[in-house]
Amino acid sequence: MKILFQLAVAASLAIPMTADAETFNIHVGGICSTDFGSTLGTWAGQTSVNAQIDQRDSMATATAQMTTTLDTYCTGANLCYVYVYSNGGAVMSRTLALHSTAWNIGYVASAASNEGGSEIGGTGVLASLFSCALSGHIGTSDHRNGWNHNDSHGIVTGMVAGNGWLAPYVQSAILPGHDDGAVSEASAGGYATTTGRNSICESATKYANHQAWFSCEYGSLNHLAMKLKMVCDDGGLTTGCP
Amino acid sequence: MIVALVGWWTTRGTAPVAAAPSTTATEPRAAAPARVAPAGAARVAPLPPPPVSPYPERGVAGLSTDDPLTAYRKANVYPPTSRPLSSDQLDLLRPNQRYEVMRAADHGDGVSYLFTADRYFVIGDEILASTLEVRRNGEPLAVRLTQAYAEVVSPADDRHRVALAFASSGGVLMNTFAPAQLGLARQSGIGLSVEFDDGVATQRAHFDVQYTPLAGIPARFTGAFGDSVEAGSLVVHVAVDVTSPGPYVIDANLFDAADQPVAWSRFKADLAAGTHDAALVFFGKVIVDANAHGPFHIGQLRGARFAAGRDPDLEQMPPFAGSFTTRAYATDAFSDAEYDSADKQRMIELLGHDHTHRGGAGRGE
Repeated sequence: MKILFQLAVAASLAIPMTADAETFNIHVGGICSTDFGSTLGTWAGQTSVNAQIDQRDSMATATAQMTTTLDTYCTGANLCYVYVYSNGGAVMSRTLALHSTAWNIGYVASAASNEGGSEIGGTGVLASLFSCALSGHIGTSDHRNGWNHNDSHGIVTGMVAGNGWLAPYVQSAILPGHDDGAVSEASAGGYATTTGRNSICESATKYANHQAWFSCEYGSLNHLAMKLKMVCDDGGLTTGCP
Repeated sequence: MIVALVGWWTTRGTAPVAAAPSTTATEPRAAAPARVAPAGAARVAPLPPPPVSPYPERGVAGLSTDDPLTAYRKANVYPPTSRPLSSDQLDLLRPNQRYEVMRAADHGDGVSYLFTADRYFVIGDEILASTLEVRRNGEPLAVRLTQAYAEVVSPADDRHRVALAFASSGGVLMNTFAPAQLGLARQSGIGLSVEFDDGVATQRAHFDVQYTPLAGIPARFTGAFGDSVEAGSLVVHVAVDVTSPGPYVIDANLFDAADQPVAWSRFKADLAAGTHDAALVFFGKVIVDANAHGPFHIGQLRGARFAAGRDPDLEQMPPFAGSFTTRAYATDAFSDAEYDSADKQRMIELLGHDHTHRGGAGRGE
């Protein structure tokens, strides 16, 4: 009995730190959205979160709400993976750069990221695609000056990008290199300059810890079709994938 | 229940921690089989995983296929806020640059235009110089401006608008604008907009700047510096005179005795009102791996107060226009030890337990 008691005490002390911890898969939508939408990826035994991030008016508002989301789910013994789409990639990057909270984030998985800003942000063309106040203020100068993209909290950002056509099509004449109709691959691939790219595997300087995953380019997928691509590629969905 | 606990302990508590998965193999190295240890016996600490090489600071060419744990370890050989700096990291070496380029007009017809300025951040009494250049098939094209104005776009409840006058010079329309004339009291986003008739159609163009009026400057670099080696890293102490207390982000670059870029560093912490020391840590291993030696000097020293929840939320400090030169440290004055911290160890443990997410090592679709 004494030996069993000793073993039971030893067992209680050997409980791993991850007991009662959860893994959350945070989904962040794109420009002019207030959430990711109704379709989220699912991973066995983990919880998916449709982050309520208002990207209609200002990056400051979106950054504050991203911060609250990460504070809620990604601290203590929890672990998070963050799936971002379009301007959600910019919101997440900005939040990491401006805060020093040690969130437990395994990686950021990005699809069609507008982290580097979009050249069509200064024209009426983007407004025809995305109708909200913020859509006119997410240009390349705004985003590339807006925060230090190389400070990612040591978190890797995996990226996927498309090169498909998107009506009204004139955007591609404005966006440098390959693009998905809303963002160039210079942005979607995490490059530190706006020089046009033919794929996100091109050897050129990227922001720290930004890397291409799964494919150098999804040639037929436009900005809208790219939304679920990373979630699918990373095993969160097996149906309804582009 | 006690029997269940005992059973769990004999299989979980004594098995060594599984080694980190290999970057090339598709299967992780298997953990050693569990063994039963007598009660009270000390557990053998697992061997630390082998060191990894950091990712190239310019980025990984091609696809990255590292599993999440390996990727995290490679990304954290250096600390998140002190990393190598290369000559092609122009975003860090040339802050405050603009990125607009000549672009096609919405209607096409061979018309292209460039509407841009000489900076993104404007502070105090500084003047913003903007230009509008229009071409057709590469040749200068004279246009008629139908609208030109500057307007406060953030905060959204402050809609000062002033007309802008452009003058032609060598086929380019030019304007100088002093945001101070708006009489703003706090950090503001200002949009400059033009509309022009190129003879075929009307085209609009727009860009934003961030403006900090004198009354809105949260802190200033005093010009006082110091340097030391602490825990194997170079620390440059930057004196900051703080008017508005709060969280600050301060960035700077480090150049070696040959004026080559070596590292960048960032300070992220709260500063109280008054004069304080912001310590910029240039990690020892970054300096050693670059085989750099002093005297070092800093450049592009800049910073902002982060007013979370306000719009705009980054109140700019006037950048420090000069430099500071350190003592002539030899390379071996610094440590080549890999970065470590409690946060890093926690992340390694968390990632070591989750095998659901494969990141770049996954097969994709």
